[in-house]
Amino acid sequence: MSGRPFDPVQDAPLLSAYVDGELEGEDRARVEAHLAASAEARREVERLRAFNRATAGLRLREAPPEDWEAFWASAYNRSERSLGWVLLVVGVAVVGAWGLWQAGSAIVAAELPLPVKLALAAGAAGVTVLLFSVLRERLFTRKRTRYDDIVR
Amino acid sequence: MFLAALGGGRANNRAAPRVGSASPGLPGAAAVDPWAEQRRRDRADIERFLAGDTDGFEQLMNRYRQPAYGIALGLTGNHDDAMDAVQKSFLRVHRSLGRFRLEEPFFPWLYRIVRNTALNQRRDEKRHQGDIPLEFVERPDDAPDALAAAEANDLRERLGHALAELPEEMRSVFLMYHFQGRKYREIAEAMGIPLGTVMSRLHAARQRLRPALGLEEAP
Repeated sequence: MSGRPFDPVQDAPLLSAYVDGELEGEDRARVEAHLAASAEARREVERLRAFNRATAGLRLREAPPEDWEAFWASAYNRSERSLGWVLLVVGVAVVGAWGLWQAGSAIVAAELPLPVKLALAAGAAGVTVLLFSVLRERLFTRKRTRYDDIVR
Repeated sequence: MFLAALGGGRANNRAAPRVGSASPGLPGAAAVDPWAEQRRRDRADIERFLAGDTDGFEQLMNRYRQPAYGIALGLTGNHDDAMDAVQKSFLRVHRSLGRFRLEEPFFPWLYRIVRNTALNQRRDEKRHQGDIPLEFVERPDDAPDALAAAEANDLRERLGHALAELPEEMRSVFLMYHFQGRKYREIAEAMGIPLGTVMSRLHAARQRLRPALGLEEAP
């Protein structure tokens, strides 16, 4: 942005940087030359300074100390429970797949009328779908609804 | 303690040290890096943690918890989501610290984790998003002039609501500069954007926020 005349539109951010003391060298000299020549630029710098003064008494909110007291305990709980759920899901998936295979084999091998076989297969599939649905809800959906109705 | 080192508000932030890598057109190109002590402490804590001392991790995180909370609150607009995002971020840091490159500064790495986690949190949760992420360096309630205190509170609320309307990229730059004492170069480093982009986003944010402060709008 140096080595050319000051463009009041394109180079306007340089005025912010100038007011913030973030400018030096050629860019600073260019801004100062423009300020010497432009009353509007001087007014803009004053507006930017007024902006900084207006926000000087504020800072980012801090979390209250009592919230940090329980922070680590719940962080470790969260970590342990995440691991617990991963292990549980893996275990249930393996046992479920094995059980489904066994049930399927038993149904196919059994001397039962076809409608009964189909009903048993549908029941086994239903139990599997419900089980995975509950796990999915527990893992991904439940957290969405905890505080929906709470307005702070 | 980290915020104290950085300075709380802009008034305090003037004392904040600057990153000293050279760049034409911008100050802060001094030979001494004023953030060196901060980075040295970060590195020492990370090395302690990697050697098996969990106190190193807790000290590191305790130093950064309020800045991380501020970033998360600015992005989620909700205290509970911000605390959740910070907690998830710290767990991610805990899992990934072994892959962190020690020669790099820690804050930009942490910032990216907190930012991504907070944005995911805001997307996943459907909570109220009107918590004002700002507070007073000195509480106006303590001021003898009740009218001035009420006006200050009003300004804080107007600015807080206007901030929520800003695009996320502008808001992050604005909050980091004005309320976390970060210099342009640090913001560029943390967000992975060019210095000129920091300048233009900050300037644009100020233009948009002027009406909320009751200042004359730019022509």
